Amino acid sequence: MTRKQFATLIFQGDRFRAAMPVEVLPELAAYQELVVSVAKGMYARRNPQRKRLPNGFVDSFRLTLERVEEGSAIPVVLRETTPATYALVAKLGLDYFEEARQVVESSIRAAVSDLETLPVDMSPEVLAKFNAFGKTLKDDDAIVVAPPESREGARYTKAIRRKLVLRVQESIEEPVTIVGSVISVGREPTYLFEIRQLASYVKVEIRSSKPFFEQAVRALTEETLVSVSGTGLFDRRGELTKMTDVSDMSLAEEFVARPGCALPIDQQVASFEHLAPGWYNPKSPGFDPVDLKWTARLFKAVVQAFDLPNPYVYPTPDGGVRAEWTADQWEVAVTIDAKNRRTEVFATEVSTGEVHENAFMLDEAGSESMMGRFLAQHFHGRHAA
Amino acid sequence: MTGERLTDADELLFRQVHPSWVREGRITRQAFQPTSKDELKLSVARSSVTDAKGAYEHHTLQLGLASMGSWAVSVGECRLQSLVVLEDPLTSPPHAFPDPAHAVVDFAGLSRGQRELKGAILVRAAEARGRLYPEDDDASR
Repeated sequence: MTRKQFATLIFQGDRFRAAMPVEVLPELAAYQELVVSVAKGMYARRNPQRKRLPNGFVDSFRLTLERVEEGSAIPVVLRETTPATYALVAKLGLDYFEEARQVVESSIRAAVSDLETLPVDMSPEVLAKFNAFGKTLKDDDAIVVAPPESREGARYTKAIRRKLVLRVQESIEEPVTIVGSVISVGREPTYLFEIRQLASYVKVEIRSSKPFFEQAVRALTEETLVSVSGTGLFDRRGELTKMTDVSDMSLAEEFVARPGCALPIDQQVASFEHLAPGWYNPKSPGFDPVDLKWTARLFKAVVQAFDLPNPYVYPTPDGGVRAEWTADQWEVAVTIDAKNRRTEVFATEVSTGEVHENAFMLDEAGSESMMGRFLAQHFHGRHAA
Repeated sequence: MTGERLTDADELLFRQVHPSWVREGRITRQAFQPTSKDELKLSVARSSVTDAKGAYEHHTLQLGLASMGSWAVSVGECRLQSLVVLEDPLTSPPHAFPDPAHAVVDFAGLSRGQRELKGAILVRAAEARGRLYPEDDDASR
């Protein structure tokens, strides 16, 4: 058996600078599967009189990962070849897999160039196989699919994958993480639960395994916010329509530390329990531990759902809790009055004097997401510095 | 009694900051905003009458209130924000202790959002100047 280079897959993106993360290894298997599908379709189209593939057709094609080039994320993808492989190629008069590699590359190029027409061997059935290839790509990632020993090829991104798959399907699978409240659960006909997303207030149905389902039941009973990661099904408009599996689920309390204040929100808020009435002025009330816990949970959920830095949290003289962020020229603050379930949000730009403010009643539907969106605008959106 | 406007732009105005209002060295933007009970007047101490240590000791030792230290803004920095600073010496009686250095920064007539803005700008100025008393740089939690 010999091995020869079959293709060069160059993984581009910040996370690939030094090495190749193991979570993208399934991309190699998906690439092999894609090439096989193209080759099978190509054989069927060119040999309509044949009902079956030649013996050993699929088995003759096997890719292996020899090594990842040091200091990069360029896996060296080799094709194993045996005398049987050569015999098959000789018999068919064509190396279908070599042709298939080129069809894959050409299809990606066509999508990059927004061409209406794809290579004739890229049938709708085969196009659907792009669903599995590139599934782990994040927004800024790319895989350059190039010929062997070349660094020049077709640039495959999350957006290109979406374009290709949505030519033949109504929806596409992509990894997703959502945060929200579990609003219903059902064991029949399979383990399903529904989450109302904090960020958009939109309901999403989630199919899960039993352990995650049990966790969802607990979250429903205890009214705990959860973060759920897994595979999402997105429609042509890019809207999440459902989640088809769950790979991770955590309670809001388990969220990890983020940029900003190094102290966890819980710890910051809990420190106010020790402030006795009159701590700031004679009228300053003390803090109710239940209200503090509720406030901390709300802050954590909003920070997680809208990907905000960890805030600096302070008590207010009238018994409220205030979270603050400094983002270059912007000063952003949220004050929570837990007793009255009221929040005020402020964003002030110190260089121009621009002031944005709003107030929400937190027991009204969607108020948490409106508050979160207000904050996110000043970090990620049009107001961000 | 509230009196004349302060005019020396370089005069510093010391402000005491409660320990719970300093988190990892960062001061809450509330620290230089008056509370509702202050009738929108922010209490400060004048550097022409006392110093950062004197202002701190008056607050903690005489009044028995908690403070993480003295921070300051200048009269000129307040003026840039169109905030008027008025002398306001306190006498005893009616106050438990006299405070001849007492002055107020007047936030009257400003909306809540404008108070947030100007308070944040003053805190930035105070943070840039650093804590003036105690002088060590360990203003953490």
